[in-house]
Amino acid sequence: MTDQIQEGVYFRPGERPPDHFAIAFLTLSNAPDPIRVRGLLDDIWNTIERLKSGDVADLPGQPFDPKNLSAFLGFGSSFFRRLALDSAMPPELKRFRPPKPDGGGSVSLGSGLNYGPDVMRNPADAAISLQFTGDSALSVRRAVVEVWKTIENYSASHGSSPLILSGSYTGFGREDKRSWIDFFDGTSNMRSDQRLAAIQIKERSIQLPDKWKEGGTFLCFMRIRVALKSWKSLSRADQEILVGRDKLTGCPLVVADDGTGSTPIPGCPFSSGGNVEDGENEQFRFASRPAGSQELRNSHIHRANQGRSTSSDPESRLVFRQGYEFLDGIDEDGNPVLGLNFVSFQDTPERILGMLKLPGWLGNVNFGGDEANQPPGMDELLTVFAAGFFVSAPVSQDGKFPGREIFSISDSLT
Amino acid sequence: MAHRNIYHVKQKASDSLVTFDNLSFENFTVPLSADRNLASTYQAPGKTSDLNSPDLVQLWNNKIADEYDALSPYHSRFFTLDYAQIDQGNDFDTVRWAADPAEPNFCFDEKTAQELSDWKLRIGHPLHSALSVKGRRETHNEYCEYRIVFSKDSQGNLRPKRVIFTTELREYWMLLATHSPERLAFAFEDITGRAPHWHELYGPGVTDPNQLSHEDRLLGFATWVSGGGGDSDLMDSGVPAQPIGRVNNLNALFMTHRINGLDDLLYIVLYGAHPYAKRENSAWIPATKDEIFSKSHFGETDPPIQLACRHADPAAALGAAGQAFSGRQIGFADPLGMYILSFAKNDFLFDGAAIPKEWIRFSRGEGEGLYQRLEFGPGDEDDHFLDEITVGDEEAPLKGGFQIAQRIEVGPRLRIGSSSTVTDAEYEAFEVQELDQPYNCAQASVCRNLARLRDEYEQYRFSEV
Repeated sequence: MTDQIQEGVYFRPGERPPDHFAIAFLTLSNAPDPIRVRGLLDDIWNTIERLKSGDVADLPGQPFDPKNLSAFLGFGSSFFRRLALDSAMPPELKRFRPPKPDGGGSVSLGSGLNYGPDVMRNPADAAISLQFTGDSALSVRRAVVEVWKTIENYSASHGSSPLILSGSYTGFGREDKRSWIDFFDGTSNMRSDQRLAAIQIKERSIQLPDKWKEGGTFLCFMRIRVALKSWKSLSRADQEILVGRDKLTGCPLVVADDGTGSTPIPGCPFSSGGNVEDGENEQFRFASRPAGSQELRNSHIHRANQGRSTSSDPESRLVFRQGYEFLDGIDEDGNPVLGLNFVSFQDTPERILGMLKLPGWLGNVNFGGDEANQPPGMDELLTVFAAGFFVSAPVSQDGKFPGREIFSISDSLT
Repeated sequence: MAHRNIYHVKQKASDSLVTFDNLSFENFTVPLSADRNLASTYQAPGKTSDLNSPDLVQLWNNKIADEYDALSPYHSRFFTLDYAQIDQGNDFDTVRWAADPAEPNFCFDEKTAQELSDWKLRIGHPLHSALSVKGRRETHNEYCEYRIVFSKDSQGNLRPKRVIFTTELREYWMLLATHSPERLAFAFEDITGRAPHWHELYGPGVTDPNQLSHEDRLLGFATWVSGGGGDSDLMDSGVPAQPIGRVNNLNALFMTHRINGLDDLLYIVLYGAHPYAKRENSAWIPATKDEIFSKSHFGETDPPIQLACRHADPAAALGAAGQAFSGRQIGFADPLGMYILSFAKNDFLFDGAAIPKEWIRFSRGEGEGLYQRLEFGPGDEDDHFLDEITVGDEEAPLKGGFQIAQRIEVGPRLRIGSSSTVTDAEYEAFEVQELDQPYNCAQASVCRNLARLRDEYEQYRFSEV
């Protein structure tokens, strides 16, 4: 099955995401003119294409290794609304809730995920996102800076810019496939042959103004801080119950033979010292919902992935995750500011929103466990710096930026 | 079995079984059929107190068993009605699905799905009596139906006041109507808060249904309250598919769409209760949703692939298939019924805060997980209206029932037993072929029918409330 998903989504068999990640957010200036926005996006995409071939405008004749740089372009709901392109906007494209004016607040009604108490603005509530991945820290960071330069150049030549670089984050992949809480992460991600069905926006039987999206995908981004100090205060056993896996091996927990407590599933790992990321333990990566234990069904892995249906079904809530960790210095209390750049791709934001909101999924819990009986600190283990949804067009066939045809849907541009 | 555009081998109930027509309500005994001899008994759905005698309970169990027997081509060693006999059985509510109509959404889009599902013409419009529950009749087929209650505000404008959802089974109410008018009236009053007039339930002119034969009770009730539900015997007797009376339209007593029946619920769980599998290298692995429905396993003329696009069918079938693949026996937990299993109430706001508790009223069930009815929105005595509620993170105005149904999960409760060995022969009997790509739901034949409905809607939308 061929696909038209833009580059930078590493879902195909044998693909692995590069180690480095950056994401940039662009917002629209006051009274943006769609023609000028399109013109500037043409310039930005040209800059990116040159970067991908090892060429940068300010260093003519000085080629460099682009380090496998890739770029993924998405549009947020404000892009359509502020440019009066409402008819072209997919109705399923959503915004997360804004933080409260004095900080904090839920990212989504019914969700136990909240903005950090000091977050008063959501940088990912943007018109455009540009995700960069590459094999070096420089490759992705340089891309963000070159986008900024392009906007500056446009502003200098036109008097102002319709787009503003309003935020950027970076992250890195972990070769040990664990997260900052020490457990394996993304272990039960979909098999590669099931991913396209979950992420590619499906064809509809009728012609609608948002038909341009078919074959594309939706990006969900969340910059999530982990309160590692709270996590460390839990015993290993309590941590494992919350996650649903053995901390060292990643083996899923099941009800113990005597009917009380939990234990790693028998036979896992296959050999001493192994873990679920080993080939011989691959069969244990996905964990069936434990029938006999509500405590285990409340664990993070069973709330987030219930194995209800197959990947093409949005009610499966299966998404393709491609996250990157971050460490961003030390806060005023001496604790590391660290966490996860949550990145997922799906055919509709409803997969994520349902997962976050619905009772029995992650609704009303921050990470996992019984919502009415959370261990100390676990109701605020995760806090959010930024969160947004973006729709991406299928890959462009003419070398122009993906989704350029959206502008021609507007009468003002025809 | 009514529909789904698939070939279905439903047989007439065995003559040896007790049927409604040869029973007298006042004084009867209901023997178990000799070959059934179940150790299990299903109580009234939701454990309501409707069934106040062992005889009525037995009739309900016979009805379930009749429907099960009629589906004999789908029987499986992995499914039993005798839930008490399931080895190490535990009850689960993990088979569940979203209550909003899926078909108009996968055929068109969410906006069209909302419009068609909430379709209701203004009272007084010439077509009102025929089309007043158009959306419900045409699209509410995920085992949950709803009615939007309208009321006039102080300016005289007709506005949505609240929405009533029901998952109650048509067959259960038809049984009450046939065998116990008194218990039917009890259930009616339990919902509406008032005693019924008999003519509301059995048709004009009926003042005492106990004077009617069982058949006449059934025909009257079916004609005016339940509709025929696609039952060929009732249809042959002149019963329309949908009721012509108002009482169920207005009160959403129970489901009337032909798909939302006990027969279809049994069918889809039985359809799934087989070890559908495919080979990967030398091992058997479970079939996917599309693979299960992409082959004719039971003599269907065409594979029932379009069922894979709906909410209910793939959820129920995959839930059963997953257990069969592991060699587990399943059955319906007691009481058999369709239940409202979750409601994301926190996704709604009123005046920027949580919805008042009294605006969310569950009923027709003995507690959480057994409710069959939900009324959402202000009561008559309240000055507020449904459209003052917002939904979702962007706080969009609440338009009707579709947006609420999207946040409701419904499903049956299943009992699941311990695992057992599944033989290669059993897997081979239900071996599927791996598909190159997912089924394109936009190509489903139901979309052609819904396109006509959408055209009809466009014609009449000026008259919509």
